[in-house]
Amino acid sequence: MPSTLVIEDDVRIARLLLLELGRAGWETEWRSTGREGSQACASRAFDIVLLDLMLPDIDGIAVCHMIRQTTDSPLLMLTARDAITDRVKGLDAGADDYLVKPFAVTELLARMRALTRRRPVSPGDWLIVGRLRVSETRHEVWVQDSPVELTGREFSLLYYLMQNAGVVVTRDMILERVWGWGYGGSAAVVDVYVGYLRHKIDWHQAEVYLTTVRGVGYTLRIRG
Amino acid sequence: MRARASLKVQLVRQIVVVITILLTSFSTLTLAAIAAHLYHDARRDTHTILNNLSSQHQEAVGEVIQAYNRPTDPRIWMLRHGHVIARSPNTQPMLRKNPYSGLLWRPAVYQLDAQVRRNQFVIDWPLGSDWALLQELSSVVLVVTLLGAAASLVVARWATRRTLGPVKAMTDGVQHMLNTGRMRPMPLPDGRDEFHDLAGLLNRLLSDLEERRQHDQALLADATHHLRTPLAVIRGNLDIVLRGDRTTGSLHDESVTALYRTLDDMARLIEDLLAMEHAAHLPHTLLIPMSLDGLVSEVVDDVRALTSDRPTLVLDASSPRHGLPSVAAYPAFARRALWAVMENALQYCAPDAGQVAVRVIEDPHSGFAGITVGNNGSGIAPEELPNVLSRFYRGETGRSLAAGSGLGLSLAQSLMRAQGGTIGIVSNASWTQVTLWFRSVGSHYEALHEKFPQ
Repeated sequence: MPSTLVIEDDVRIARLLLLELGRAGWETEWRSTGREGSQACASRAFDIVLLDLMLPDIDGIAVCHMIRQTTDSPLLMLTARDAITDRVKGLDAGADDYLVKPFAVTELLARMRALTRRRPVSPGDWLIVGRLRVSETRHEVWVQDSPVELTGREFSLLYYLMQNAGVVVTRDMILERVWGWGYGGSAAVVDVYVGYLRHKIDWHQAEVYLTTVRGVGYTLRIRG
Repeated sequence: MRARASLKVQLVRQIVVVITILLTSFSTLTLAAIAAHLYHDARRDTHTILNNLSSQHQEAVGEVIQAYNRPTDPRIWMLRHGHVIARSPNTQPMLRKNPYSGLLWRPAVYQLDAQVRRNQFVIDWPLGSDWALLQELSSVVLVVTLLGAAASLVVARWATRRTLGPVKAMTDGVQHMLNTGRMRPMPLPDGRDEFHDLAGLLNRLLSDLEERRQHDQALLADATHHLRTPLAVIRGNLDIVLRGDRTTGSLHDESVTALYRTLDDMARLIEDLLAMEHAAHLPHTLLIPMSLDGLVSEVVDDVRALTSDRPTLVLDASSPRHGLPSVAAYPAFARRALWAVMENALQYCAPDAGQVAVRVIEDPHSGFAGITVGNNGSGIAPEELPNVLSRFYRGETGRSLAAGSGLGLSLAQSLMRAQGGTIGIVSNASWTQVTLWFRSVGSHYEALHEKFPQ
């Protein structure tokens, strides 16, 4: 059973998280202060740490630095603040992802799974999933021996899906990483671009499925 | 703990101490110079007497010595083999002897001891009058120094009061603001000195703070108002959901959908409000060169992808053929601003046959390049135009049609200002055009240089 440490001072949020994570099959531990949280991280290894940015004793960014000194476990920051600078500060301090309150539990679980996934093989410059390979620096996509022409946006979307092959990525995760801050349209744009990818890539030949997970997002899975 | 001394007291103390030290040093040096001069005179005169005595015959010497008979005259002894063989009448029988030539005290004399042929002459030059002169001079100098110190105290008090007057006025002003909780401008001191500049800067700071306070108050009032409405929707729908047994399944589903939609709207509103706040604090030095063509094609592609279900909508985008200069922008802000304007155009264009045109344009004279987004539709009434950039303003036509947070164009304006740019709106009965103006890279650096000359 994968384990997670929740460092959150608000009892109501902590209760919700513990209930939902427990139901989703996570073994959970809860600490309500930054000091206790970083001590818990030092005493045992967790598969992932959920850290609230605003804690009563120590600033979340400082806690993040403290945790990073003792463990490499993936760290997901939860916060009520949403300025770009906060995001950048959190990621600079060693957080692996950043989720703004209010969030849907499905979104949180998807991000936790993405952070604890096994990384796909990437020999040298190439990222390979099934018979699909892409090079970010050369901006090339190949299905077996045939090149595929993609626009910049389509390429970034495919690359992100391939980086997370095997786990479900939500529309919000895709929007955040591929479209970036400032995108003002609806999340449906992801569906449209996934449609373009479906149309442009011979998925049968690539031996990869691009699957829609209803109500959650998308995933790439290797056939067989 | 050291007792607190006011700046005025400290300055007065320092000025008085410095002037007293200067006066004392000057007096001491003067007295020392006079004393050295008197000593030098006494020594020279004593040698003149010795030269006179040594040039006399043996017999005449005795007579010459006898001529020194007044108490103020030099005293002369003539010795041979250690015995006094002649002395002037004004001398005591006992000879006070210094092993060397030099000063003797009580009474003060300069003594010269010299061997001339077989005779030894000891001459005491009396320094009583010189000593008295020095004492008198010292008294005068002491009085002058004391008077000087007293005068410096008066002058220092006057000068510091005059100099620190504006500080006192400013302190009183700040104290008044603290007491009343209201900001008011400081009085500007006369003359264009540093205090005048400081008061001017403080007044600018105060007016900025006051503007910010009013802005924050208005923002809080607006935000509270616009957050209460969705909260009321949430509460109402929760009531419906909780009464589940008495309502039909479809009503339940509708309420849950409404709850989710309202939560999304609230989150969006809060995100937009935060973005506006964030925009107000972006340093201009973070701006980077950026191409407007790339931004337009990125956003237009996304809009086309999202509006494929509106076959009647005509979305037209074009850039001039020649290359445009790069603009100074913060890409995330530029993207958000363009999206806000695009959303506005898509929302208000004619519903049956909407037309939206996006153009990249340049104004080489002003050093600005821009993106104009035009849309057909009923346009904005001239009396409403000045208000469309206000927060939460929807206008008469907008209120019935629009569903957004009401922050779109206002947010775009904040984001453009944060990048040193502006937003412009023109509208007639059938066409509305919003332009986002960015500084070209060259003019941005010129503006930065003007602001921070180095």
